[in-house]
Parts: sequence; structure tokens; C-alpha cells
Amino acid sequence: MDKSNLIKTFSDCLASGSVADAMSYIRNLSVIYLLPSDMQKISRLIDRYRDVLSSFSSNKSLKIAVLGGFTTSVIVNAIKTHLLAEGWVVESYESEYDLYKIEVLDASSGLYAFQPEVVLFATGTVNIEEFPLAGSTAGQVTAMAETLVEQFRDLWEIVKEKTGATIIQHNFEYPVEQLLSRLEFKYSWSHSKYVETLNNILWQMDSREMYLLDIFGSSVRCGLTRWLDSRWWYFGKFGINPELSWEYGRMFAGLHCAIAGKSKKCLVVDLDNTLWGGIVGDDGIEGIQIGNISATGEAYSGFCRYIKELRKRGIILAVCSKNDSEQAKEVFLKHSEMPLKLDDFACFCCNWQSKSENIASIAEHLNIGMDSLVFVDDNPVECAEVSRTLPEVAVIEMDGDPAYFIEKLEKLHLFNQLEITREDLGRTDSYLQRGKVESLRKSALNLEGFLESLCMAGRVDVATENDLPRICQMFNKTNQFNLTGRKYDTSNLSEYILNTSKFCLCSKLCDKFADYGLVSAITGEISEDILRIDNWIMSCRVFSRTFEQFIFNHLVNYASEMNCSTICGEFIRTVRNNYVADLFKKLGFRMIDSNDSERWYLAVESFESLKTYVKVFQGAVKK
Amino acid sequence: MSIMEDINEVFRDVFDDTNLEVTEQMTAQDISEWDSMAQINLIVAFEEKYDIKFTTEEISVLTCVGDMAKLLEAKRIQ
Repeated sequence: MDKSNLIKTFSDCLASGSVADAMSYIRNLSVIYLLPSDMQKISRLIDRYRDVLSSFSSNKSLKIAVLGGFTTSVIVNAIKTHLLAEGWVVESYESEYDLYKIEVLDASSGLYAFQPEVVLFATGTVNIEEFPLAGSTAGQVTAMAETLVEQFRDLWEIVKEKTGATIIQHNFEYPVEQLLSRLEFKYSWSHSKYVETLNNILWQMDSREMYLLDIFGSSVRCGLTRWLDSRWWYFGKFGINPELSWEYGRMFAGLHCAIAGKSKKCLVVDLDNTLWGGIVGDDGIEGIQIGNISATGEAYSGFCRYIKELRKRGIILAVCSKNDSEQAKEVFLKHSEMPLKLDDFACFCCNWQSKSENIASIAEHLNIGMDSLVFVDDNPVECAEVSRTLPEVAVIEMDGDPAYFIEKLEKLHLFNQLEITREDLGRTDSYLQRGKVESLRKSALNLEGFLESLCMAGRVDVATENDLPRICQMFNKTNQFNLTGRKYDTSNLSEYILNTSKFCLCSKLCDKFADYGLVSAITGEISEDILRIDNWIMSCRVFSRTFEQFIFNHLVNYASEMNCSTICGEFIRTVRNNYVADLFKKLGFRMIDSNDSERWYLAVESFESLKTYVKVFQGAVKK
Repeated sequence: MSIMEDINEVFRDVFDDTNLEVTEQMTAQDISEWDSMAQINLIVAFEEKYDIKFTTEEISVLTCVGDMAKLLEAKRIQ
């Protein structure tokens, strides 16, 4: 159902008194992008049907007063829309634009007559009246910031005392104008640095004196000049671009859920076309898109790594997929580029039952409420089935480009926490991590020490059919470390594997931070006692690490195993391969000809192994 | 769809009135709910629909359906 139809159906359900259905539609609506006019419409429906919505068993009514340093009507509609999706039927009160101080100080103001349960201070950098003078010391800047925060704190205290309401305070976004240009972030007295100082002080009070709504973070993610589109400020004193009110509403709902202890606890994922591209049942473990097989594969690995990080932050993971369980498990057990492992998942439901039944059993098994689950799936039919049967589950349709899956999930602010405790971080993990970084710092003073500290391990193998797609793709997209510019398609390339007078070597590298996988390949042929290199490529991610020396040492070994006495190389200059212009020279070759292309040779007998910081890795390359 | 049909659809949506029939002569005076909030809703909806951008001046003075149609036509061609 498209957006307009969803809103229409939501409205019809309310009119006919089917509140349960209406609630399920509003949940679907709140996870897709809504225009200000959509949220205005929804907000009016909430006002019209407030009684019937409030009387629904799992809903609660909530009175929110918004004290704005700018026009807040658009964000109020967004708050009402998104909080309804989380089960709060909001009644709102808005102060007049920029009269918030008076409202707080005047005991007879509308604010107090309203008796709010939540008071939102919707202020922004536009409300900062005074900035530090140019040349102020850091101490002066901090003192000034403390004074301003103190003024806000006085207002919070008065409101808390008179109403007992929960206080939510915006922090400050960077000013759009950056007067110092390149030096904006150099001096503590610049407007931008002043904003940072204010925010640091506010964060220290977060969760104790009030809850901070991270406008700063959101404006950075959306882009500052988009966040505060100056047209809207001049037109109607809007401190936040109305186009972004959906984002704002999601962020607000995320914070309010965290305050109320209703943040999501568990992420339930589908597998095919969600964690990897393709269908493991049809394409097999080798055929699915994950890892550096392709750009799309990399996007899926990025999403999987992100999910793994969520687990480290304390989010429970579960699988719910229509698949053969053993086959699906193989991906986690055997695929070298799948960052998630079976023990990352608290539940692994792969069968042919309906997804809603599986999700219900996951919730039961984990002993958590249905409303603490998030389900992601690429298939709209499955999503619809789950959201119809289990309306409390947050269902996210992960369609489209996998490169944006993380962004899509993050925009919804589902997994908010108020604090991160030491326990959340998982002691051992973080200590190991810290150990790594420190040893890196110590040794990073010189290049040799740095390369040593990376603990690089590599291997060079004769390429097999399985390596072909990746090698072929590398030849097509590697321009810098590319000796001749020759490209191959899969059929040319398989010649190098099958024909005994030709060869193709591929190299893999990992270090203590990452497994880079297959990052280099050499093609060539052998006639009599001469090994001729046809082309050699290497991914730019592993440049300058002495990996080419490592590979070349292996190539020389290979040449002597093949009884070759000479290695010939060729360098053909292209627009972008200057990086390897003197590679042969560095490796100890001599130039014999430089007409159309440079021809180089090296006598195997007199070759001495080159210095490299890459160690030989036996077995499969793994982190 | 013609510009006027598009405009009609956006207006019906923004003013939540499925019977609304806009004409080129209509102005903000004819639709009681056409306030500054509605103006924002209209502008953002048109910008989203056509991937165009209005200037501050245009946002402030554009209160006649006919003018809106002309401007949308011009911007869409750009």
C-alpha cells in the first residue's frame, strides 16, 4: 500500500472504530518518509479521535508542552505522529515563538494551565544571543558557555518544581555561517567551537537533570545546510527544515522510548537478500553476494558487520528465514567473508512456517515482549504478514540498495539507550581492543615499527576457477597498481588457469584489523626457461605495506620451481598507473628496451629475497 | 498529468479535502485554511514531487493558483 492509501486507511479505521487496525497502520506509516502535510493530517486525526485512541488498551495519553525558540508547529505534528506509533496519544501545547522564557517564569502562563508531563525546550543556535569575542581565552569561552547553560538550567528547575514534568532539551547545531572559514575549528572562541563547548556541558547533565535531544548529531548526519535551510528561517522562523521533520520525529520518539524503557531489544533478520544478495538455496554458498566478490557483496558485508556491532552494544540477534536450516547455517560456518557467526544469534529459526509464528516463538524463547522486537526483511509480502499478525513488532522492509541498509535502520532510532554501562560493553572485548590500539600507538613512531605492528599475514596461490569472478573484477577496476593495463574477461582468464604454459597467481592478505581477502593477481606465461609477466595488479587498499615484495618473493620461487632462469616484465604507461612506474626497478629488474613499452628482466639465480613485513600464512586467511 | 491536475492533487492532499477543485483564479483568500503552515506543506510537497526548489521570495508571494502553475511549469522545464 502506498503512503496516501495508508493514511486514508488509517483514517477510515479510526472513523469506523477499528483502533487496533489503525494502530497497525500508523506503525507502518511511521517507518516510511512522511511529508509535513502527511504528519499534519495525521496529527489532526489524532486530535479528532483522541478519545477512541486513548481508550485503546495498549495506548497511553501524554501531554507534551513545546517551548520553542523558533516556530515549532511542524515538529509538533511530527512528534504526535511518531509517538502514536509507539503507543502515546499526544496532546500538545506550544508556546508562542521565542516566548519560552516568559512562559516558564509567568506562573499564570498557558504552560502551567496545561499541566504537561513532558516539557520540550526546542531551542537552537539561532537562540544564542551572544558569542565569545574574537580572541577570548578557552577559560573565558567555557565560563560564558556555563553561564548560558545555567540560564537554561534555571528554567528546567522552575518547570520541574511546578509541574514535575520530564524535561527534554535540544542541544545546539553548528551555526550555518562559519566566519573563520578554514580556521573555524582552530580557535576555541569561534562560533562553532563555542557550540561544541555548550554541548559538552549539556551532555554532562544528560540523563540527570534532563534528557538531551541530539540536534547536533542529527544536523551533522542530514547535512548542516540542509538541516537549517535558511529560506525557512526567513520565511517563518523555522529552526529546522520542515522537509526533515520526519527525521526529527523519529529521533524524538527514539529518545522518548528510551526514557520510558521501551527501546527495542532484539533484531530479527531475514537471510536471503537481507544479509546477503541472492538465495543460498539456489545460488549455493559460493554464489551468494557477500564480501569482496562485488560492490554489492561488500555492501552486504558492511550491513552484517554493523549488525555484529549492534550485538556488542547489547542488542539480541535472531534469524527468521524461510530456508533449509543446515544450508543457511553453512554460510555462517564456512563463508570466510561472513562476519556474523552462529553464536552471534540467540535464536536461529529457519524453516517453512509463517514468519509471524517463528517470531512469536522467538519472543517467547527469549522471554521478551513482542514490542521489543524489530524485524527486517526484503520481502514486502513477509513484512505485511508479520505486521498484520503481530502489530507490535516494528517491521522494516529492507528493499532497495543494500549500501543504504545501515542508514535506513539508524534513521529509525530504534535501539536507543540512556546510558552505556561498563557491563554493556563486555569487558574482555573492549580490553582486547584497547590493547591493540595502544600497541599500535607505541610502535607507530616509525614506518617499520608500524608495519611490524600490523601483524600482516599473506599467501600466494595458483588461482582456481573459484577465484575467477573476483580476479576478473579486479582487472577491470584496478587502475593504479596495473603494470600494462591489460584486462581479461572470464574466458581469457580461465586460459591462464587451464593452459599449462600460462599461469595466474592470486594473493590474499589479512592483518590484525581486517581480512582484505583476494587483493592481488599476476598473469603470465612460461616458454622454455623464461617466465613472462603479462600483467600484475593490486588493490590500492594494501599499497605501501611491502606486500608487493612479499608477492614477488613468491613469484621468484614459483619461477625456479618451473625451472625458469629469467623473469621478464613489461611496463606500459597508462593515464593512472604512475604508482608502479618504478616497480620493476625496486624489485631488482634491469631495463632492456624502452621503445613502445619498457621491457625489464631479472636473473632468478642472482635474486635475493626482498625485505617484507608480511608473514606467510598457512591455511585459510582469517582474522 | 497536466500541471493543473497535479496541483489539484497536491491541494486535495494538503487541505485534506477530496472534493476540492482548484482553478487558476483561486487565491489564499478563497481557501480559509491556506495559512503559512499550509504554504509550507504546499511548497515542500511540490518540491518533493518535481525535484525543484523555490526561492524565499517565491515562497512568500505565491498565493495564487494560476501563478503557481506558471512557476511550476517554468521550473519543471529548467
